[in-house]
Amino acid sequence: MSPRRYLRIALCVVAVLAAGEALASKKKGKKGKGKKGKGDAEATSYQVPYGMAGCGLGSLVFKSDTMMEQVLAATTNGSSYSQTFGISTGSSNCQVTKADLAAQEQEVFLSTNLASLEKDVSAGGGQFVEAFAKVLGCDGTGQYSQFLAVSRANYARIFSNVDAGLVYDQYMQVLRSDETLAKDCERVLITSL
Amino acid sequence: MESLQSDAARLDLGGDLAWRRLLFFRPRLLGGESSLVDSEAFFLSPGGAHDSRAELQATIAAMRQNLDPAAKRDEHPACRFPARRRFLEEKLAGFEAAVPRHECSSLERWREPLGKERVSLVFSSYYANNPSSMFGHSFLRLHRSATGGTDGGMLDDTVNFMAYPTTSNPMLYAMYGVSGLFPGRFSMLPYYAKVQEYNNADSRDLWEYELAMTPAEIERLHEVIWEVGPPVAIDYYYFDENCSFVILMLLQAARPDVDLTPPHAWVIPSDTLRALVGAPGLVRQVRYRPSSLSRFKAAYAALDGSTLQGLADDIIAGNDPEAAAAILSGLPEFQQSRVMDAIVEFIDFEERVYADKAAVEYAGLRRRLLQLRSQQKQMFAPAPVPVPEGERPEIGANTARAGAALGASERGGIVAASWRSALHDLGAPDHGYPEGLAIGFFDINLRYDAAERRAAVERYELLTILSVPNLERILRPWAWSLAIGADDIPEACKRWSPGCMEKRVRGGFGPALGTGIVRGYLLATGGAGVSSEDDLGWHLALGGEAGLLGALTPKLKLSAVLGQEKLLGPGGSMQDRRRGAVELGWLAAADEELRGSVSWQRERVEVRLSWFHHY
Repeated sequence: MSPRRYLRIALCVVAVLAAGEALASKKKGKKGKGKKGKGDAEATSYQVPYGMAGCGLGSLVFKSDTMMEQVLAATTNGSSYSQTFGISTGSSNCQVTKADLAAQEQEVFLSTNLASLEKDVSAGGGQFVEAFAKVLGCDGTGQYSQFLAVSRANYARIFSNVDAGLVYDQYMQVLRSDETLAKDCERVLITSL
Repeated sequence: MESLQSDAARLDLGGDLAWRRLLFFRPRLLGGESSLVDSEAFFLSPGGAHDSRAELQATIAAMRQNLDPAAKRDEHPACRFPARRRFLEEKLAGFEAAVPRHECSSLERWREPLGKERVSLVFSSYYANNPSSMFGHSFLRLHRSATGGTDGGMLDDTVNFMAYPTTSNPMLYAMYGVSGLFPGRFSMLPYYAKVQEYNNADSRDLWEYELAMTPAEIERLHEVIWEVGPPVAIDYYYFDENCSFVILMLLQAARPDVDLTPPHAWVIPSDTLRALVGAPGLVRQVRYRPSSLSRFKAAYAALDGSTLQGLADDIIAGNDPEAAAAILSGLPEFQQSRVMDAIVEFIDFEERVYADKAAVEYAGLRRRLLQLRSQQKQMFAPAPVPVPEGERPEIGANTARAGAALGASERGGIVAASWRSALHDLGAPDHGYPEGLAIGFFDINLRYDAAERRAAVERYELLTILSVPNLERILRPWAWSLAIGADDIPEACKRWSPGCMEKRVRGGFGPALGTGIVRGYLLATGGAGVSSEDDLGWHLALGGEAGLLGALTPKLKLSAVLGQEKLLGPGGSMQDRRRGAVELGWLAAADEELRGSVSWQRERVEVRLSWFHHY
């Protein structure tokens, strides 16, 4: 191959890489870094303690993907979530109370499954609402049907918000105002909002 | 200790298959074995990645070390490598007595809540119009319940392996991913997070293969996961050391008695599924979890008759919550619930609703419908989604393909041979593959013309993609294509040589038409190429392509394509190209396809009978 051809090919490669970089930095500019910004569509960061022994274990970070990102991510099995391993990162002196931990798990579950939870509650049952009952400690015999009935009866009040944090607050208020559930659901916090 | 180590050497525990699998050893192309794992953190001896016996001796020595009182107990090798410790306790007499049990609080805290009852390999299927998803992705699910609970096991843990890209530049991303320059690590997430991500965000079906594993084997799996978890890294190679391969290796470490070696050097996720299903007794059961698209299709199909479907279409078109409420109030509650479900599933798919990402265009309609549903006096569960048996990912033919063909044109007979590394083309029956999605990697076609005594590489493709999604009611799918390769130029090159070919890149875009058994597409195509023909050289191409696909049965496919383009060379030279083909493909056996075709291009008509063997 002649030197001219080599040069042409080299220029093509450089152009292609530069275009790629430009594309990448355009995307970076759009993607904001959110921190526990409830309802922040770009990236919301939560602690995920359930089943993962302890606290401070990394975060469930959620980013919205463009089509290009999806295609690329599929080639490395990447995911919309940046993932944790569930090993305490040296935080053997975790001071978070059990109540706070429970609240975090519930908020994470609710916000990660909000759209599915809405459908289940409105239909009066389903895998997501049943799992949510477990995370709330309302899954004992007799408790679960009461939990479902109360949730469904208050559907409009609970799910009137787009913001998952506000939905969670409403949901807890509804549960606490029901005598049976407030007493029996082991992980619904009676303490202050 | 010397006796422990000499006993181990005498028994050749370092060469034991179970030990080598714990170290993630795999056979190498040029002979021998070495570990998949690239981190030094995983090895206790300097050459441990290549020498399993040295690693065993080093492990024995390390486990016997006394604890430095100042050091953290959790950092002791006995706590760092519990699976290795278990292996030594089981196979080396005197080891357990010589190495007292350590209190490994981090390990215990980590493993205590993990699902211990069952393990499934979960495979996320393709998403129409995202061809790279066609390869699928696998992860492990650690079930907390021995039988399927009604909560669907949403709170189960999952084990995932993926690359951690260090760049978002698409070109570098592709290069690094292919050449192992991204580290890969294991991670864990609640199952519900994966369900939201795959079923809803990506609209991909999930197929779960429950594995036959005893409680002891599951405990060992947990220990192996601990050993190979962060900070340990495995360099991620897109073609051969990708998620499916690594997950298989992980399973093999926990179940060394099973052989899950994939069929060829490169690994495609669905191949690993076939390896799993092929191992006798390993897969107990297969479960299906529908994607948002599958739920939408099923919900619409559940509306009996066209009146209800028309009603749903009207409500969506109107996008008026109060008008919708008025329309629905005239229906009996059961039918109301079905119509509402169909509309909400449409919205969730169309607007890609998942997690707490809300609908935008149809937000008001969705909210109103769900409110109405919650106020119904009776509670109706949504219609169940039927399991698409024909789309089970493990039933498709293997992904590599070798072919031989005999044919004839007006000039005489033809003998042809072909080879393709992956994956599927639309001339082939779709049994086990997504309909209307084709992707090809490294496809080479050789040909010998008897009359002219000319042997040539007729065509090679580096990459081809053709996506023709099914036209569902009220969706507006687009078809598109991409092809990068080269064609032989018989007129210009009397004798074939590698330099004498037309190299080309083509892309196409257009509407997909039709539904069900017959579908079609129309593409506007464009691209560029370089040809050895004297008056062509570098050129642009513009044209169109029309195609028709008919799945007569899942194993019999009829396809037809017609294409025309104009090539514009430097100095205004132009060439017209026309080509067409009609093919009938029959999947005679699981991995064997017979295909008859009539094709014409460059003014030649040709008839061919091909036999394709998949492996």
